[in-house]
Amino acid sequence: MISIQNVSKRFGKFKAVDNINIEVEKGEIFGLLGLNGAGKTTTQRMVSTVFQPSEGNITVNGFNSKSDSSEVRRNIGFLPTEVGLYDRLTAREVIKYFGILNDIDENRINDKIDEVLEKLSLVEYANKRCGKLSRGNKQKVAIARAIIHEPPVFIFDEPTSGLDVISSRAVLDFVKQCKDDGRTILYSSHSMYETEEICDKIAVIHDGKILMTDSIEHIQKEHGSLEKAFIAAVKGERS
Amino acid sequence: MQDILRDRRTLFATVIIPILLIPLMTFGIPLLFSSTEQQIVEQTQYIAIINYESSEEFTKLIDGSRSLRVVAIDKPIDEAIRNGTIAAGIEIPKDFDNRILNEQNVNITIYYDASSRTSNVAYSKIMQFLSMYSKNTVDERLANREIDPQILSPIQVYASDVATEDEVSGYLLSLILPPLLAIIVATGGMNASIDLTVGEKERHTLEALLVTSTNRRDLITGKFLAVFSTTLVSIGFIMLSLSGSVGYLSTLAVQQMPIFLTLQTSIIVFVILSLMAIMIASLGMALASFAKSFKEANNYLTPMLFLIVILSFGSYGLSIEDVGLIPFLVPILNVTLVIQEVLVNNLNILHLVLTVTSTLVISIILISIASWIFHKESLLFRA
Repeated sequence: MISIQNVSKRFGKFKAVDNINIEVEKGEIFGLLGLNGAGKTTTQRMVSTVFQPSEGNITVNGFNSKSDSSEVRRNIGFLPTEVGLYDRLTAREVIKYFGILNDIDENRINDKIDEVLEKLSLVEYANKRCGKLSRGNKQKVAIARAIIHEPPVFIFDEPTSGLDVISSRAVLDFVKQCKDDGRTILYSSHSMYETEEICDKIAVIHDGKILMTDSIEHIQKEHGSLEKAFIAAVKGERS
Repeated sequence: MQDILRDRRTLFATVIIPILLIPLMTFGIPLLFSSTEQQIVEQTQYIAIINYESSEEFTKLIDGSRSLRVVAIDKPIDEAIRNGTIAAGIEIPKDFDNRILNEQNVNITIYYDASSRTSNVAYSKIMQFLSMYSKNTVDERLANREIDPQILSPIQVYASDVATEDEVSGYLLSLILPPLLAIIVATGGMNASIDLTVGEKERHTLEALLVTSTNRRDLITGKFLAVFSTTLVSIGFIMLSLSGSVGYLSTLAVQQMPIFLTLQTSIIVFVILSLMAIMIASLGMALASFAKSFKEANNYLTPMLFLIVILSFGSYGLSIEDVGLIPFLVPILNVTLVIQEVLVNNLNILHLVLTVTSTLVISIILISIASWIFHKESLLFRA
C-alpha cells in the first residue's frame, strides 16, 4: 500500500531524510518512531505529497507521489501534528469544506458528515465554532476533516501530542478501529507506549536514517520492550 | 470565503469603512471647510498700524470698515501676530499724509503669518483695502488735473467663470474621491489576501489544504476568487455609500454636488475599481504567500500600501486635460485618473483602454507569481 524506496530529502545542504526504505502492507499500522527532528514529519509530508522527495520513489496504493500526486492525495487522509482549524467556522462547516475539496458529491456530503461526526462522538459540537472547542474536540474535528472522503490510507503525525489522557485514549481507539476497518496507517510518534500498543510494525528513525525496522512482536521477543530496543538503536548510532 | 466574511478586521475594512468614510469625505469635509472659511471671512480681524499717528484719516478708513479693527499693541508686531494678539500689521511711513499730499510714492509693508488662515484672510482684506485706497487717491489726483481716470484703463478685463458653484465643488470632489476609493479598495483586498495565504500558514491549515485532492493551481485560484469577491463586496458598499451621499446632497437646496454619478458612470467606476481589485488581490497574494508570518506579510504589504497611497494622490499633480498617455500605464494612478474623468463627465476612451489593459497585464503577472510560489515548496515552507 505504501512503498518508500531509497528516499532522501534535502533542504539546501541539510539532509532531513537519508535514503530510507519502508513498506507498509494493507491493513497494517506502521509506526515511525523517533526523537523530535528525526525526520518523521518530513517522511510523512513526502508520502502525502506536501514535499517531493529529492531522491527515490514513493508510491501509495500503486500511485507515484511525483507523477500521480492528485491520485495519491485522493487515497490518503493526512492528520498533521498541528491541529490547524478555522476558528470562525463551525466543526460541520470545516468538515464540509474539506469534503468539497476532496471531491465528495454535494448530495452525499451531509450524510457523510453526520456519519463521521457520529463515529468521532462530535454530534453535540457540530454547530459550535472551532475556536470554542476543547483541544481534544479540535483534534477530533481535524481527524474528521482528514477522513471525510474515506481514503484507504491514513497518515497520522503525532495525533495524541498535547492531548489529555481521555482524549488520547479516544484517538488511539479510533486508530485501532480504522485498522479493523481495513485501513492502512502510517503513524508517527515519540511515545513508546502508544506505539507499542497500536502498531504492527515500526521503524526507528534517527537523524534522517532508519536504524531499525521490525514487527512489535519480534522486538518484544528480542529486546523485552520497544523502549529498550529504541534506546539501544539510538545509542548504538550515537556511539 | 465564509471564514474571512466572519473576520471582524475584514468586515471593518470592506463594509464599515466605506459606509462611514465615503459620506464623511463626500460632504462632511467640504461642508466643514467651507463653513470654517466662511466664518473667518465674516469675522472682524484685529490689526495694528505702525506709525498710525502719521495718518488719522488712513487709520479711520481701515477702522471704519467692518471687517478690520485697528488696535494698539505693546509688543513687536511679528510677536503679536505669532501669539495671535493681532491677525496682521501694516507699517506706514511717518510722513504718510505729507507724501500723499505731495503726490509722492508711499511704501507700505504688510506683516502677516502665511501659515495661519486668519492671518491670510486679514492679509487679503488689507490688500483689498489698499488697492481701493490707491485707486481713490489716483482718481482724486487725476480729477484735480481734470483728467478722466478712465484714461489709465484702456482695457477693462472681466473674468467670467462658466463653471457654476456646483460644478466647482464637483471638480473638487472629483479630486478627493478617486484616491479615497482606491485606498479603500486596496486596504480591503490586502486584509483578505493576508488572511487567506499567510493566515493559513499561521493557523496551520495550509498543510491540510495541500493534501486534499484539489490541486495547488485550483487552490490558489479559489483563494484569489475569495479575495476578489470580498473586495467586490467592498466596492459594492463603496458605490452604495457614494450614491447615497451624492443622492442625499442633491436633495439639499443649499448645495448640490454635480459629480456625474449616473447608472452608466457608476458601472464604469465599479468596473475600474474591480479591475484594480484584481491587481491588488494578486499583489497581496504574491507577497503574503511568500511571507512566513502575519508580521512578515505586514512588513511587505505596509510599504506597498504607502506606495498605493502615493500613486493614488499622484493624480493631484496632474491635470486630466493635458496629462498625456504615460500616466495611464502607471497602476493605481491610472485608475484614479480615469475615475476622475468619469466623475467630471470627461472620459477618454483611449485612457480607459490603456488603464484596463495595463491593470490586467500586471494582474496576470502577479497571479502567475503567486501561483509559482504556491508550487515552490522552498518558498511556501520557508524555514
